Amino acid sequence: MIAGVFWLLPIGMHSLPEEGLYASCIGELEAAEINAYQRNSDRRLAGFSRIAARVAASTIVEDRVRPNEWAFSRTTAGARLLRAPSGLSVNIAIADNEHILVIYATLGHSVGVDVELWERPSGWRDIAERFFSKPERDLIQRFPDKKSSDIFTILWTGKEAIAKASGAQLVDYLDVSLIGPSVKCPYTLQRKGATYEKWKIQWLDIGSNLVASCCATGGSHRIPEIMSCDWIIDQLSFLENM
Amino acid sequence: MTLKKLIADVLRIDESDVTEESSSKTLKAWNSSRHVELVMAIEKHYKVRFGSAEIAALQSFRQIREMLTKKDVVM
Repeated sequence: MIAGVFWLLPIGMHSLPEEGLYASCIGELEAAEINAYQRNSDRRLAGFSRIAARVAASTIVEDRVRPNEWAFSRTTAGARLLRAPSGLSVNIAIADNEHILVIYATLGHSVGVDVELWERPSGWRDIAERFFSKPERDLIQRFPDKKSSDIFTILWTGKEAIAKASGAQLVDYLDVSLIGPSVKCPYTLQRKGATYEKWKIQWLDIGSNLVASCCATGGSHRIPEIMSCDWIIDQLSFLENM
Repeated sequence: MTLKKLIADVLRIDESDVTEESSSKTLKAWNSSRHVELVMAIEKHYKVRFGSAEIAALQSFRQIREMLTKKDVVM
């Protein structure tokens, strides 16, 4: 088995399978979540992202579990997991923005991902002022406008990734500080001045004006692999013959 | 600007996609990041302030409208 995979999937509506094509792979609860989306494009992307997550999980266990055998589940805290009938579980994180889908899957470590545009909305300074810690605000203010906006985005995506890994909403994690007790230890998360949680965080400029962040409670970050939607679909082609 | 238009602008979707039933569970664009941006935009536009628990609870068009009504905002 391998430690984990970190996939970037360039997506376009033309490359996503139609709704229901892989329905046999998706459980009832998942289908309900996907079908709750109003827009066809949202349903197709949500369906495809869950398929890609299953293929990622099967890759980690070297295909000892087939993609259609995984079931989506959540930790007691609410973070995503894929469980095999044997009880084996893979931690999974999914994010998408514009034309990129990011999948991060590992064995044995909580993981989170986020992908955001580098361009921030006009109110980003207000958000930082209201929610970010003092060391974070100080860091943002130390730089000229464009650079400070980039630092805001980096901190924002990091918080979002950690919130996802923790099964929480971003709003619950905006007030944590990504700047640890020492500048040399930036990957230590300080929450409300008391509790420390150790996270490994990595940021990647993935092009197309997008930045991705990934975090994990342990293990080693892998170099992201750029996958194609067609490859994912090929991995599932056996389902059509079932 | 209507509440629907405000939501659509922040989520970068068509106004027609924002309905009475719209929520973070029905619109993929209504993700965790956009949610914070949306709350800040609503606060600025309607000159109100939400507490942390209220921010977390504002997960649908209806909940936002009800919360604004509770705060005596005329929409």
